[in-house]
Amino acid sequence: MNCNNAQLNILLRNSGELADNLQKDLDFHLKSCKLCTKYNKSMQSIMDLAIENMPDRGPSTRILNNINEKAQITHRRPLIFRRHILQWTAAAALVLIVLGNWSFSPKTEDSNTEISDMYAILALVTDTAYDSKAINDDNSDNSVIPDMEDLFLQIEDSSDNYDLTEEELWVPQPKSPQSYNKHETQQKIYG
Amino acid sequence: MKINDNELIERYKQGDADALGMLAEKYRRPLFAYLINMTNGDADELFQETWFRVIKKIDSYKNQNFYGWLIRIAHNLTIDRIRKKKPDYSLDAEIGDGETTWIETIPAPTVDKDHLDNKEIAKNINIAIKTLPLKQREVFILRTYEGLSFKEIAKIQKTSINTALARMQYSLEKLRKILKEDYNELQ
Repeated sequence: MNCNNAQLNILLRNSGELADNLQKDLDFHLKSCKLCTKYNKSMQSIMDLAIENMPDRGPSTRILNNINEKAQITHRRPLIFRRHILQWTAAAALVLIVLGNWSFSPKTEDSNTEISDMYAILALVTDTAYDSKAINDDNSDNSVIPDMEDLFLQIEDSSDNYDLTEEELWVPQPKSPQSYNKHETQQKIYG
Repeated sequence: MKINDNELIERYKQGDADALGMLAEKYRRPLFAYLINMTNGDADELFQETWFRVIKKIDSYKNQNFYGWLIRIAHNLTIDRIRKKKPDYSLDAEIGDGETTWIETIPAPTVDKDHLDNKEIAKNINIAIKTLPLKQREVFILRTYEGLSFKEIAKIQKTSINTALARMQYSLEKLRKILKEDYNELQ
């Protein structure tokens, strides 16, 4: 072992990283080399001196408080309370509530009337828009889309005179198996 | 009772915010000593930034050596800060060798050898450490103050163990030259 290797191995031994098979070689070298022994002693003295005089100053209390505050705000919550899990759970619950409300709500005559009204208004809007387009086309006007203000006025006028009959509003209701009448069905089929 | 670092981190992840405070307190002195020797007046700010980064990145911590991980974060923030202040600064530059450095020119320690008290010794050694080039200084601090192995130091500096060892050798030699006049044992 030469002096350069020995000095590197001294550093490695101090940090506990020197391989076992090199320990004996190093000891043997140090016994016979005064220069490396002196080097070892003076390196250790410098390190001891530095440790003894390590800056004693710490961060200010304000800094430590900031860190604690940040840790409190963003501290890890148990898995069940993690924010993204909560968000997804809330969204899924909302969807289920809306779907449940829609599919399990009783289909009353009022709701059927409302649906029929919506269809009627939609049909009216479509017809009126079609009529307006036709008028515009007849007048050889370049504007294909009817003026929205006029369109709403027309809908308002028409809706006053537009009444649906009972027949138009009727929506067939499914019969329960108990109310199934064999005689009535046969009469409908065979007359 | 001593609680190990990984246990404290696990407690923090489970919702015990005080566990992080305990870690910050445990490493307060060595981390601050590292920062105070590596920077010029930014130690407080960098100390805070390091812990904020720990809080942010805690999920990526995988039960390794916590202190090594903490120092790696502090090292990256320190290098970023130095590069932001002086983009052309060489991390191997010697203090006072003509090159512009971000550290003020530090006067060599001059003391009355016959009246050397503890405060003066501390001042001298700390001034001498600050005269080392940044990379050599970092190796010296990490090995001496922080007790990190050369393997860990090499990982932090993204270099080989041999380079880390060579930097330590250079730093010790320079410190010996600076301090030998005041301390007979270093002759």
